[in-house]
Amino acid sequence: MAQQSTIPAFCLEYWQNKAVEWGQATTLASQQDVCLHLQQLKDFLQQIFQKLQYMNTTVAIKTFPLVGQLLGRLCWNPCVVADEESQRTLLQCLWCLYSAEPQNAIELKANDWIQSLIRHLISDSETENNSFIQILGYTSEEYHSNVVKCMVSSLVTELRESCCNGIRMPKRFTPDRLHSLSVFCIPLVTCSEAAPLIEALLTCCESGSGEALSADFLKAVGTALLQKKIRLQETVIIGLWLRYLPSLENVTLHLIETVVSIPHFSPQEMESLINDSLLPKASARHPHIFMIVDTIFRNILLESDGNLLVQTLMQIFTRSFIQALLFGEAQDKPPLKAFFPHNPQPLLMALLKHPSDVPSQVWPQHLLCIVETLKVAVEDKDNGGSQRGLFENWFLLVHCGDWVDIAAQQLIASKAETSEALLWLLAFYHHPNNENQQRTKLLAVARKVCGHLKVLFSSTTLSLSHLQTSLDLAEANSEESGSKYLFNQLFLNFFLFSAGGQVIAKDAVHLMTHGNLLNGISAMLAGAEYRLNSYGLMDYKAHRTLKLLQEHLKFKA
Amino acid sequence: MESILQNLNGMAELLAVARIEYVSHWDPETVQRAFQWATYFEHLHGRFRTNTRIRKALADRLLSINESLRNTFELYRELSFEDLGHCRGVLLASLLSNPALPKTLSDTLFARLRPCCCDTTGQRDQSDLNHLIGIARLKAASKVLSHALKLNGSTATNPYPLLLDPETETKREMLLKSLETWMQCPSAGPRDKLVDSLFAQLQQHEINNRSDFSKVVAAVLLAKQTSTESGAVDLALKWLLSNRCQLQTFCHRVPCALLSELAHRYPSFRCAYLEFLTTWARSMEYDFSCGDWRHGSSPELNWKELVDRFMYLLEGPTLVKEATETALCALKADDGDFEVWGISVWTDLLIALKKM
Repeated sequence: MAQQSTIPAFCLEYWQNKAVEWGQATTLASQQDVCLHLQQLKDFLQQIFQKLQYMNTTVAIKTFPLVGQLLGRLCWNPCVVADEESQRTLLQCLWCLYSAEPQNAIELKANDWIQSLIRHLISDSETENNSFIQILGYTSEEYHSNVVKCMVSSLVTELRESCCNGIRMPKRFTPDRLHSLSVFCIPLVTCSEAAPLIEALLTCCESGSGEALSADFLKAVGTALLQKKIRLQETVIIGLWLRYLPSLENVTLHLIETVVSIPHFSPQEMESLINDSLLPKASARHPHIFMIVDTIFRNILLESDGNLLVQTLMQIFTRSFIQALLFGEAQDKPPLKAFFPHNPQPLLMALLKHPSDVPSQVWPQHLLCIVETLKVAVEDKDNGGSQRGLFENWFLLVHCGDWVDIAAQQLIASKAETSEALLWLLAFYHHPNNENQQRTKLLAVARKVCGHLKVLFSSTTLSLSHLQTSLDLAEANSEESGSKYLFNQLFLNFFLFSAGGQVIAKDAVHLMTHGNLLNGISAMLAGAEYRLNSYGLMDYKAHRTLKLLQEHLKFKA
Repeated sequence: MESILQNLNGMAELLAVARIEYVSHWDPETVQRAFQWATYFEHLHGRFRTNTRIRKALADRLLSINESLRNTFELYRELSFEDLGHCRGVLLASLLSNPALPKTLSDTLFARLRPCCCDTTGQRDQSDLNHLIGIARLKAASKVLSHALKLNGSTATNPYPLLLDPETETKREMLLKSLETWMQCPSAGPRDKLVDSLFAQLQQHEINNRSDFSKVVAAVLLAKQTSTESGAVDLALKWLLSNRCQLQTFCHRVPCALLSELAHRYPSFRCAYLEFLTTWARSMEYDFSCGDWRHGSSPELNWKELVDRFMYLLEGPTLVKEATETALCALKADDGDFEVWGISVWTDLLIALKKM
């Protein structure tokens, strides 16, 4: 029984008509039309393939009587065949109609017809080219590859001559021609021999009155870049992002998706993914790009309710971005103000310095400086739109969240005056808004917990019972994930750096998991490990405790 | 190592046979074995790709194999080391495009290629398919780009006659490359024989199928002279001038503008070309009924064409122009130095040319 096809008949009919209209793509108009519809055609062919996969030939022909005609016509259309993906899907569909053991006349006929189609695709039907090449002993692949290269180079030369001479010369490439040429290149985007042409098109200056290149072409290039099917120079890629916004957005979203789907929390892997995406470099050269990428990050952060992975992504991105800014080529580097227009300069200078660039002895002072500048910026009611100012500064802090982690690390061993400041910083990080006094409340509890932990810090003989009060207090006040996170940070740092913490670490963590206090503890541990390694702190005890906890958790999981 | 080289011989022969009629004698087991051998060589390629010494040994052996098999098989496809990397694809493409392949075998091949099969060999089959897709893709890409080039606007009338279209240019490059390879043959005798036989084949093919071999040869002769190429180009020139018949065909098929450029560049060609035109003119007869010169046997050798050709020569560079003028005047004088139309072909030519 023929399956009920869920592809509306309209679609197949629509593409049938289109294929008839296109013929073998001999007129300019039909060729351009094919290229513009290429992506939709690819999607449709994929759908058809999904259906045909599970049918045998006779059933397929019954369900989709005209599909053979459609596929056949498409095989004779060079614009469709030139695109690797569409050709592959086309062939896969054809093979679905091929029967290894034909049962009836229809299937036999189908087999013959498919064989002739394939032959047409791979061998030269024009005898003249064929024999010249064969007599000399070359292959048709070699011939066609060289012809393509020759055509590409002549087009590239023409483009280079007529674009951007500096002097206003009459251009042979009018915006119309550029547009048409870019449409022709849509099926060739993944063809490596055509890469110089793609680059030449993308580096061709705009005529001044809007974008000359076709949007479909730009989209196709963006997609091919994401799928790593084409390699372009960095400047060309950044140029593409500047002139076609959706490609930039796609790259950013793709990065976020990839980062979020790494199975284990791995800052190293994140860092390499971020650098490979070219976004930090591009952002450092163009504040415009930075703004867009940053806006996307912020939105994701807010939507995901402060997801730890997104936070880390922003931190690592900011670090790479600052490095690209500092060490990039010196041609007109935009000032920091161009990237962070809403943050006061002193705060920028304090926060954007990465902890690894500051000697660890200086950390307490630097942290105090950060807290002071931050307080000033945040409580400065004279700064118009104070709510806005608050969020902008909080976002900046999120970008530089490494300092918050350092603050948590330093907190327990710190002196009384510093502790207050550090506590404020931590509380602010989790509750920038103090409308309902959440920050004040959190601060109070944290102060108490911290106080308890400080007392126990240097004690070498610890047992779980010592910690009980703090643990209970923490648990009682952990409705929000932010607070939970804060307390986890405090406890973790306690275990790693206190004199007797190592002994009770395992049991305490065990207790905390049961009490649902733990939230993403393995991520936190991985983060701590990364920090210990990258800041070069030779604290063997801390390392050992860390390893112990990680083993324990692995065993549990 | 020696056994590998021996097997390489066998593989090359196998691939050569796959392209000729003999394949009609093959059966499914032969095909199976052929693919097994191809797999083996793909594996070898993967192993020794980075080993310079072995790679060179294999490549060198392939060069000598190509030379010997070229003489044995017609339409021999030369093998390179890179080809070994997708040997199965090459074998498959050769078999599929061979019209002599028996139907049962082609059925087996097609069934084998089914790309959606996910068994353990599914992975391998994809690479055969990839090779085929690559071939089809390049063919289609060249068609798409030729459409893109037509966007130029200037299509039919080429303002600069020496500008070549991409197909001719590519064929020129390939022919030059072949010539350069043959130049490396130490002894001139067998090399000249080879050039003679291949070019003769190509020209014969051109006559039968209206291809553009002559134009490609012209393009080769007009190529920019670099130190390596000059030897290759001379080879082509030698062939061209060695046989009157060849030269005649050549001169008839190549556009006048290119011929006059050739006349400028090569004095030997100039003499030969002038001789060709002279012979042509001498064989014209004056037809009193319509007042026109006609050729006795071949109506396509018409007066207008003859005049056009002389015209191009006279409009060319000084050397050529002078040589042509001198020749024409001398011939007119020999013929009696008439000034009246209809008696001497040379007089009429000069009259017609002066009019233009």
